[in-house]
Amino acid sequence: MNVLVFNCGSSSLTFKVYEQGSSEIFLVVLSGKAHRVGVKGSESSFVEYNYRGNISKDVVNIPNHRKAANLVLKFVKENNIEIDCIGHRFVHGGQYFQKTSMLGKEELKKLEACIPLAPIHNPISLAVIDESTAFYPDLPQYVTFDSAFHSTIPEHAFTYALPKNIINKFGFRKYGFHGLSYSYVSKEVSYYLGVSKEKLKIIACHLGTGGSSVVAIKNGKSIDTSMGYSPLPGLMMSTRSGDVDPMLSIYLMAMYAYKSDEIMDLFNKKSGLLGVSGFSSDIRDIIKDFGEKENAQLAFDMYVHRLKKYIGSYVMSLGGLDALIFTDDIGVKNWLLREKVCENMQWCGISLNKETNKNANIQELTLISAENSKTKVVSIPTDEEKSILHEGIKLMKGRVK
Amino acid sequence: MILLFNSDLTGMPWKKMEESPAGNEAPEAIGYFLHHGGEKITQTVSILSPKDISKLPETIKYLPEHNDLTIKTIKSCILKYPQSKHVLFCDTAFFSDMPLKAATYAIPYKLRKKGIKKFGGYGLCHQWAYEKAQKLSRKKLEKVLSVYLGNYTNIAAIKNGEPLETSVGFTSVEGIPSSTSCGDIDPTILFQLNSAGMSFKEVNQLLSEKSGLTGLAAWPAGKKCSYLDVIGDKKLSDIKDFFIYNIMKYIGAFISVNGGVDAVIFESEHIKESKGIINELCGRLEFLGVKKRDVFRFEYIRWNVMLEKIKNLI
Repeated sequence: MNVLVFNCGSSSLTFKVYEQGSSEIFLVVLSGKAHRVGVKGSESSFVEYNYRGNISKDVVNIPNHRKAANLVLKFVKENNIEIDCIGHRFVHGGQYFQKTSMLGKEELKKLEACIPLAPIHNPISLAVIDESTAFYPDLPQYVTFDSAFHSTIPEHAFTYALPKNIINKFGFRKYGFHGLSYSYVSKEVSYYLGVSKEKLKIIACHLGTGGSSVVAIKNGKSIDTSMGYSPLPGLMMSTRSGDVDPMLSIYLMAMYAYKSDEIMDLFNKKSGLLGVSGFSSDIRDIIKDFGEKENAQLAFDMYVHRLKKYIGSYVMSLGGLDALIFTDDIGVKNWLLREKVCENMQWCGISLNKETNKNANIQELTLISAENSKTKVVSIPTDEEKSILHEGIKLMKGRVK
Repeated sequence: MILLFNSDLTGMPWKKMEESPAGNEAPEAIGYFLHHGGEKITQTVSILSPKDISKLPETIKYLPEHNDLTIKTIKSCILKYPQSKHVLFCDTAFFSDMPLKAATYAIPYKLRKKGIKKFGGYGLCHQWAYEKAQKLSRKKLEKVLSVYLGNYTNIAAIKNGEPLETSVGFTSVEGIPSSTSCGDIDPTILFQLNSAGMSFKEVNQLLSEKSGLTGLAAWPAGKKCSYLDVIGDKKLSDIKDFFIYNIMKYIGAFISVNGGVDAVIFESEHIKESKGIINELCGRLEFLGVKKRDVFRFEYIRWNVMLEKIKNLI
């Protein structure tokens, strides 16, 4: 069985084709990523392909995820790469989906009903699904959900202090996201440290070029995370505001006659690093312009400050800390960010080895804490596609020859 | 005689403190309490000058009912008692020089320039408590957490006497859930409620008057659930767990940005009743090496602190 996996980030589209070897071993025959999808910035967008070791780069305008998926599917078809099914990542399944599901007409309707829950992600995942169906109308497709990993969060942590009847009627609670990534990195780190995950208190920071979140993991289970009912709250992100006073929107509507969808758009697409810096949603642009542009430093400092707050909160939730994990693009590639976050964190046992941190390998797990650091600090690239593949293998067994 | 005013939702309660034997003469000083001083009022306690008074109307937009009433009271008292000292207390002023990285929301500049930032609250309480703890302590208190426990539970991080963080945001709704307001929630929820047919006026009322501890308790006939109920009623242990968890998250967050903790100060109007919850919170801080001698407990009665401050001024 060959599986094409699509992994939609808010500003990227990662893809992999896995080919089943003689046994249960799956090999990656094609991998790559469409970068800066729909991003405004100084650099242009492009797709990277690695097809059986041949690396190519296609610099092309990618205004949206449908176009990104189109480019990948064309590549697959033109190179006669055989695929038996397509796996997708869907951020928010709300009350409709608690586990990985095959895609049919019914499911598609339910996915559409989920759009308002994650107004940035859900529509782009749907666009990729749509484009896939147009290319391969007869191939089976399945959908994995990011919220599943957080189903273990206890009531005191997932509850919002709203009237009970409203909570029950709407299903308002913290769901949490980036579950596929957290599942992968926490397993890898516990394996690396040689300690079973049942004995570890872990905080993992998934810092993506689009969305970012933090999770507290105890005994291998998520006990709290920074995103909420939707992927809007929590950390400051590239264009999302993260935590804001819930009354802000009401104030803006009452005093300045903003419309509700205008505010949702501002909070989701024009806030975060972009909103504070005023010129870029890309943290690399912002670091480049320290001292040049007025709010570059402020945007970076806020990003660090807010991440430190969440780490502190979760040290309390866990009652200690054994490992701090940085993952995904910003987490793995940005040594300055890691250095600043780990500054003055001796209170919870963190002390960084500045040299190894600066030279951390972005391709593989790197231990970046000092030798005497009570808490181990690790930088590790995530592999959500692997999680999506495994979900698919479980589901497809018996379906496809 | 000293006269104190403190607006609340029911109107303008006032107190005559220390009646002078002469009886009907003009008060020596009059104190006014402003909950929200916006961007213009940056002194926690100040003797009002005509220039200050001209700044006051700009604060109305942040807390219309309260501030309008307070400003009217100030103006009529000044007319009636021109000889008295008029003293303004402002509960957001302490946080006016909080670092930008803490006070700024990650929203576009065109919204921030409308005066949207974290203003904080209970500044009089936190400043007073810090000063009092520092006087009692032998060592210099660099990294301090100040925790106000009550119907508006909130926390401040203080570094070398300066404000570093606060759980209160642009309004007092953000932060730890209060007796009736929701605290931190996903802002998407407001829009979900609205698209289900609730007007934003109704959403506002729901989040500020029917949520919080009261919303979760869901008592019949809209009966309010207070801080004292939650810490005292064993049947509310789930809500108490939730409440304590939310406090602990802020405590952790603020220890983190402060790089550690030298002292934890608890203030409450109900300090005796709060013994249990304070012990429980301290228990959860033990693993960080927070000792009994690092913990302070003060009874905070706003009227008394206002009186104490006015006496120092006159």
